[in-house]
Amino acid sequence: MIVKRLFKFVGVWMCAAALFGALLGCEIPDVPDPTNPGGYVPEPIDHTKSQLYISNFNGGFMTDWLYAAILRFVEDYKDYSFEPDKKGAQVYVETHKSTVSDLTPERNEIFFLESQNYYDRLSTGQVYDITEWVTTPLEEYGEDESIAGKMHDDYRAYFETANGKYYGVPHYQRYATITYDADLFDSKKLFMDTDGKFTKKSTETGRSKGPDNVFGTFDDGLPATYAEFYALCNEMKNRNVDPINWSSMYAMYTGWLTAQMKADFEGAETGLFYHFNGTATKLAESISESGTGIEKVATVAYKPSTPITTQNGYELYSSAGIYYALDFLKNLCGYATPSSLSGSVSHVGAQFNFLTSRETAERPTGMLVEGNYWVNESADTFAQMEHRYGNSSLQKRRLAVMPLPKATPAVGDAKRDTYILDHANSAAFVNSKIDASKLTLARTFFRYVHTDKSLLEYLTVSHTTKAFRFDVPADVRDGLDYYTKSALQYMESGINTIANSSNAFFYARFNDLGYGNQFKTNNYQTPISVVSNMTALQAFNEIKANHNSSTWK
Amino acid sequence: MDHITLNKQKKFSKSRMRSLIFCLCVIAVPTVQFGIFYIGVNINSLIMAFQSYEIDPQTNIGLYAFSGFDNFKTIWTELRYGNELPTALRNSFVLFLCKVGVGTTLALFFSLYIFKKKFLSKTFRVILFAPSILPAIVTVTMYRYFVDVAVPGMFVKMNGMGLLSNFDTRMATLVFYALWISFGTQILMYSGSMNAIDISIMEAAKLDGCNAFQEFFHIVFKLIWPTFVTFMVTNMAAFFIDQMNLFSFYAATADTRYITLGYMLFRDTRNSNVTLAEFPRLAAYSIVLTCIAAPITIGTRKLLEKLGPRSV
Repeated sequence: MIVKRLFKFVGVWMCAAALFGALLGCEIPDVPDPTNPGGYVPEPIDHTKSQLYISNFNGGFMTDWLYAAILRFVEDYKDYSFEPDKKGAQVYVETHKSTVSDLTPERNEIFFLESQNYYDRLSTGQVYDITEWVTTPLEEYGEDESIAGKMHDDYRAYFETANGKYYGVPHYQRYATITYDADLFDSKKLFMDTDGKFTKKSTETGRSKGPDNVFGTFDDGLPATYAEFYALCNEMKNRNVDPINWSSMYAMYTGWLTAQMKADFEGAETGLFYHFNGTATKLAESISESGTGIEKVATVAYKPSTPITTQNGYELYSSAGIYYALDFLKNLCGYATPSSLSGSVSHVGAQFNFLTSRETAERPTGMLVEGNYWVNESADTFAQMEHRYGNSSLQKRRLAVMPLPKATPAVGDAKRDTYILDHANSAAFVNSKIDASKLTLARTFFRYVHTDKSLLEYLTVSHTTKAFRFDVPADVRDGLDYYTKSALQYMESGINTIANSSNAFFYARFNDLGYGNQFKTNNYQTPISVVSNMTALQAFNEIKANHNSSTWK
Repeated sequence: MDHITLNKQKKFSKSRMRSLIFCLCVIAVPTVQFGIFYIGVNINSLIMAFQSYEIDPQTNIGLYAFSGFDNFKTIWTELRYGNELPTALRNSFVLFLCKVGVGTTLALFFSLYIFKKKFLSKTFRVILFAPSILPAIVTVTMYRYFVDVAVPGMFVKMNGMGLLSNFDTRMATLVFYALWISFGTQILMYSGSMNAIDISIMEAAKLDGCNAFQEFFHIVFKLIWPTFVTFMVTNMAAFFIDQMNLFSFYAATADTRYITLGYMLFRDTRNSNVTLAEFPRLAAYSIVLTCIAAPITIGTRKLLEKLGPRSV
């Protein structure tokens, strides 16, 4: 009797749980609401149309770009038949923020994700062969170039497999930036003139060449070298400005910056860390220092050119770039706001402090260390400030990406390249289990979001760039907000590279050899911890000593 | 009569059959779950420790191939030349000693305080157990703000440098958090165990002139010995997997100086950057650590059982 009652009791609960689960499972995914830009409402499945399911990583780059593309796509193809007896399409989006959730459920057909190891997905048969989609010119949209043709070289080398196939393409570019407040720089006349003095506004002529070593470009008047950068910071302090801040809670932001500084110093050789195939010319036999602090002068005794293979990859840990990048960060700490070193300020907190400092702090803050996407995370702060103070929205403020200064002065008048290190490991790919009936729709949408028009839209909506080359018409460029325009100029003027490669040796040691571990010392993992506890030279010597033929696995 | 017995037997057997089906239904899911996520995973891990992952460049298919003891050789290299593994081993040992020496001792005394129903004992019980109910990320965030913002605010001498921000006080601050967060469960279990003690034993002891210490060591501690043994054994078993909540504090970027073995393995497995080719090395680690932890844990249990009240 008791068992019978228990059976009924458990049975009822199981049914209730199953029903509840089923109801949860029946949740209608979100689609964009054309009557409410930025707002999304559930739309029931319409069986007279074809459905496409997309998974999007909803981090700092957000999902708005995708919704914008879907709105246009659905309208453009409303009379197009992707499947027999169906007309038009519905595109559903699921957003996540974790690697595991990103890949489930398997219903999703197209994925736009970050922190993906493409070769993991590929070797386990999770991704569909999209070679034809990617290599066929986008002629149906009036373009001569294919998606593969638009990729930057290093990205193409990574995504094209050894047998010439594509199973994915890059998604967005994520790299470290120093953002500066151009309004503040103008009001304090913090742009450098040709005599090395800080006397200019961004609108004035007679500014210095900037990091690219060329007059008349977007970076004129900005610090060209580390020494000029320190001089700028000192001048900011003299003019009652806090030079720079960052999130102290998460060490990754300063870690990204350090990796970026190193990559920029090494130039094309930075790729050796990932593909182990080439010659290194910037390896240091020894480094000596004279002087202290920012007055310090480093003398580097370089090794002869060294061919690098997987057998002697440890040699790369004697790159002078490691020393210069750590030294830059160490000196930067001397100019950072106290909250940047306190350990309790989150990334959004650091952004908030930077943005609101001009209104609320005794001393405004001039620069912020962040990822290139940070303005999206601060959308609420911009809106609140606009409401409260006016002239404070992203469109009205003049914030800009600062091209990073160089470790050493320019020799001659030749243009100096900037290497932009993308460490997002982002990828767009297609589920290998996609139903054959959906391939036309998936192919069309995939190609649609990689047209120049869509790439431009991505730029304007997310204020960042997808990892492709595309033309920006003058009128569109003029209409961009100051930050987005500067990010675009930075990307266009630089050489875009990735912290990854298809090299099998690197793949098998991805975690160990990744950019995040290149500054690791005996006791400290992140660059900010390293420079908080030792000098750049001590760290360099320790890193160099820790990597030799015995430790190389 | 025979007819009635037969009917009864039939009815009984039908009822038993239903009970059996019910029981099978109830245990089916956990059995399958255990089979897949414990037995299956561990067998897979065992095999993987002797494999390496390679991708065929022509077919782009990845395969695990037998690689002998290569993964174990890598671990040996890391132990011999690396800094991370020895540091993690040392920190795990420090944490273990603190948990056993300080954590367990304090948990026992707090439990006794609650058991004795002293002033505000119920309030203490709630306060001490609350962190165990809250999500780790909530308590970590609160703790972080407390030690990095509130504490330096209270003590001017700290010059605004929080206990976690200060590299010299970080380890102690992390260990303190680990002890504090593990307090709730221990107190709940110990005080629950103490509540089962017959009050007449305590009264008799008091009449015999037992003081508080004698009462604790000679009566209470002996009667809760099995619970104590359980915690000791689980602490020992957790030696290699206790990550000291470092992932909640620092995600994958905790400094080597503070890492434990548990954190090292969790970080390398959970890290979004880890590739399929790196799992065999981690599987080999699990084999090595199991080989060390299993005999020590079993030995500890046997020793404690031998030292327990029965043999006294």
